[in-house]
Formats: sequence, structure tokens, C-alpha cells
Amino acid sequence: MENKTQKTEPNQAAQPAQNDAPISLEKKSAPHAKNFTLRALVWGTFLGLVLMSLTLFYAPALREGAFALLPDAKFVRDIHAASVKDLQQQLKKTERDFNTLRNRLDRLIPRDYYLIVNSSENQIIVMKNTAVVHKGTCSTGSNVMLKAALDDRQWFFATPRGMFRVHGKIKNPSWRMPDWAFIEEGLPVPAANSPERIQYGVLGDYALSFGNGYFVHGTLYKRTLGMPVTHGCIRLDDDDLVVVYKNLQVGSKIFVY
Amino acid sequence: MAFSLAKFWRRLVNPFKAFFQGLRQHPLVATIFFLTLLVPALVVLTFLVILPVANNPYEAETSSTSAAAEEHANDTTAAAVVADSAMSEELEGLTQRLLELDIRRAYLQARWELSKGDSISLSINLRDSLVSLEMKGTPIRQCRILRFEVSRALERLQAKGRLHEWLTTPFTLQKSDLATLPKAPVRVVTAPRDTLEAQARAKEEIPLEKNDVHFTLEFDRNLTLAFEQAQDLSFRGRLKKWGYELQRGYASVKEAVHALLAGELPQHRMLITLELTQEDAKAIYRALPRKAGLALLF
Repeated sequence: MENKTQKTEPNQAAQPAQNDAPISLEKKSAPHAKNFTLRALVWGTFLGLVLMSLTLFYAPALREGAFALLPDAKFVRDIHAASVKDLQQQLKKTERDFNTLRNRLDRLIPRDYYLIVNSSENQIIVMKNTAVVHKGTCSTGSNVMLKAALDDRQWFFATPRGMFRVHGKIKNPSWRMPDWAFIEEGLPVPAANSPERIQYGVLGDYALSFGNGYFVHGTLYKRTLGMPVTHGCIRLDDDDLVVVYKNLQVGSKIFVY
Repeated sequence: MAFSLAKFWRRLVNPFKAFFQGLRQHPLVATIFFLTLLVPALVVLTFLVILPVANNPYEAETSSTSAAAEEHANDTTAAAVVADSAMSEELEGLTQRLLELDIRRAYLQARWELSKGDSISLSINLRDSLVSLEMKGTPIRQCRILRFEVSRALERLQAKGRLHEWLTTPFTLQKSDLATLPKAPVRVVTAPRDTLEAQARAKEEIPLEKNDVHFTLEFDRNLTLAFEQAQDLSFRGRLKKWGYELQRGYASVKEAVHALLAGELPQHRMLITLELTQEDAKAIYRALPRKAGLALLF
């Protein structure tokens, strides 16, 4: 091994001379010169393409940098300002517009109680105008697409987003189980008017409907509160449900996002 | 060890050394080499950097940002153009107040326009470091911005006193698919065939979503918002973010090439980078509809 290293040393010293071939190109044959030119062309093209790709990729950042090199931005806005008086009038008009808009926007916030449902974190907030009245945990739609094993039917379980209004308030609600509730459990689907479909006590003490068959209601499955597990309804814990039921009236707004 | 390292280094460097020595001796070959090396990059630099910056529409001396902007310009344009230098102190003070108020009014105007729609909209107030989700004018979630960066092009627009023109009309979301998390985490499940299968499935844990949150929202009028989570990333998260950055770069390259092929100069997108907590960023991304509106105060 030692010998080998020693042996290669002179070669190593000779290596640069070999690589330095183009230096003595004049004295060497034409194919050598042609080779070197070709090598330069290949390397130039390759590195050029790399450089071009980098410039292409970082063009937005380079543009940002280029903006810094531009001369300072010149104030170009046209202002109707023949005199201070004109400008003051303009300012007053803008102030008036500004205040009108601010008041209009303030009036859009509901004065009464309303419910905000955060379906990505499964949280609720009961608000009155701009004040937080109550915060709680809920369960919202699972975002599951259920496909029936025996036929082509499918259902998508998501809580709809948007602004809704309370359509009705129900005490001691019962649940009329739809087809998917049986299919999901691997059970045969009973007839449409079968008493098997009616379940009592599973929706808690109260339910508030907000359209298209969706409800805010209680649950027996408290363990899953805070998780996206429902079929689209909004499940609440008993205490939270009481607050929501007492404060929200028919017509109150429910915001789901 | 040191010896072998030196040997390795020599082996690595010597061919390059020899190549460059050769270039020094052959000016013609050197010229060809540097031309092939630099020309493609210079062409790209010219068409994708220099010309788009020089011809940036927002750098133009006259207003042309939008119909609303033109309308507003007509409202305020008159005979006298007040230049910085010519302004008396009083005039300058009044002008500054007017500009400030105009920008704030533009923000409220955009929010008012958005409140007329039915969908969830985004309102970003960089002055107070607040991002709000709004529905029918009611703020349904307010998030604190922990850090933000704004494009220089936007700062220049402000310095020109023309920012309010750009902000008066709400922005509309064009693209929102660049993200490290899915827009809607949909799971497809085939129903069990019998109760035994259903019971077995009931024992399975509900899968919890764990995603780092980084996403880009592209709006009209060349505005891009990049949302980043403030929390540290795991190794896997870093890899995912790297992939996301690559995708973002690729998207901008694609856009630039498309513009060039159409015989146009690519336009510089005004980027605002916002850092929020992971929860806030996720809630915003999931809540925004495909064509969401945005009101911006800068």
C-alpha cells in the first residue's frame, strides 16, 4: 500500500502536466486543439444552462433587488390643490366619506347574539355585537365521502360554510335516521316510514336547525368533541348547548367557517 | 488523512486549473466559452428582470390601475400638480393627511364592497398587524400577524402617493393550490358490508391531521400573499416546505415563460409574506372560498 502511494506520487506530479495539455497546444496536433475547443463549448453550454436556470428560478427575487436600484420613487399623484383652502375642503370630504363607511361597516355586525363556528379547529364562540359571551368546543363534519358497498350511492359529510340563520328551536329532539346511518353501520336499510328509524335522546336536550337538515345539537359521544367526526351537524357539549339554546333566537345568525 | 485530503483536492482542482490556463492561452476559445456561459443568463436577466422592472405598470407616471382607480383619479385630478419641492409646509402636511385618509378610506371601501357578497372574505390590516376573516361585514376570526415582509414595488407605489388607487377595489383570489396542506381533507370510505366489519372499524382511531402550514394565495392585480406558520418545522416539515418552495419557483418560471411565449413581458408580482400561528394560518386557508375577496390596508 505504502509502495503504491509512493509509486503514484510521481504520476500525481505528472498529472497536472497532462491536464495542462492545452497550454502546449500549439506544439500539439490539431485534434488536441479541436478537443479543447469542444470541451470549452460543452462546459460553457452546460454552465450557461445552469446559470440561466438559476436566473429563471430566482427572477422574482432579482426583480425585488432591481427595484432597490431604481431611483427614489417620485411623488406623482395629482392633487387638486390650488390652495390650502381647496386641500382642506378635499380633506373634509374624504373624512366624511371615511366616517360614513366606518359607520356602515359597524352597523353590519349583529347587535344580538350570534354563533361563530370554526370547523377547522372545532371551536364555537357565542358573541353579542363585538363582545365574546361564551367559548366552547364542538364537533363538525368529518369530510368523509361514504360510498355504499352494495350500490352506487355516496354521501359527503361536511358542515356547510357561510352565514345561516336559526330556523327553529327544538326541546328533546329525536333523530330520524337517514339511509346512510344504517349503511355506515353495515345494517339493512328499513322502510322509509319504519319506526326503527326514530331514535330518542341521541341529539341531547336541545337542537337548533339552520337549514337543509343541518342542526346544532348535543351528543352522547363526548369523547369525540373537538374532532371532525359528524355527518355535517354541529355537536356541542351539554353546557355549551344550553348557552347557545338560551341566547340564540329564531332568526339569529350562525357563521360557519 | 491530511495528506489524502490534499491529494483528493489536487485531483479535483487540477483539471479545472488546467482548463482555465488553457483558456488564458486561447482567447478565441475563451470568448466562445464565456459567451455560451453568460449569454443565456443575460437574455433571461434582460427579459425577466430588467425589462419587467423598467416597464412595471405601477411605475408609470399616470394612473391606470383599474376602472375604479381611474374614476377616483378623475375625482381628484385637476389643473395643478403639486410637486414635493414646491409644496409649502402646510400644504405638505395636509397632503400627507389626505393621502393617509385616502388609503384608510380605500380599505373601508373595499371591505364594504366585500360585505355585499355572501362568501367569506379576507381583510388584512398591516398597520395594526391584523388578518380578519369576514362574512357579510362581520369579523368571524381575527388573527395577529407576527411578522410580515412587503415587496419593494409596493413601497414604491406608496411613495408615489398612488397606493389608494390600487387598494380601493377588492382583490379577487385567482389561485390557491400552492400549499403544504390540502384545501379540504377529504377521506373516501367504502361502507362496511356487515355489522362485524362496522364494529371492527369503530375500534380504529380517528386519523388526526398533522400538517405544517405554508400556502400562497395569488390575487388579481399582481398581488401574491405567502402565509407561513410561526412554529418551528420538523425535519419532514422542512423537506415538505422545500418542495413547496420549489413548486412556487416552478410556478413563477412557468408564468414567465407563458408570458414570453405570448409576446409579453412577465409582470412582477407584489409579494407580501405574512407569518401567523399554525392554527390561524390553517383556519384562514381552509375557510377561504376559491374566488375569495381581499381588502388590504398597507
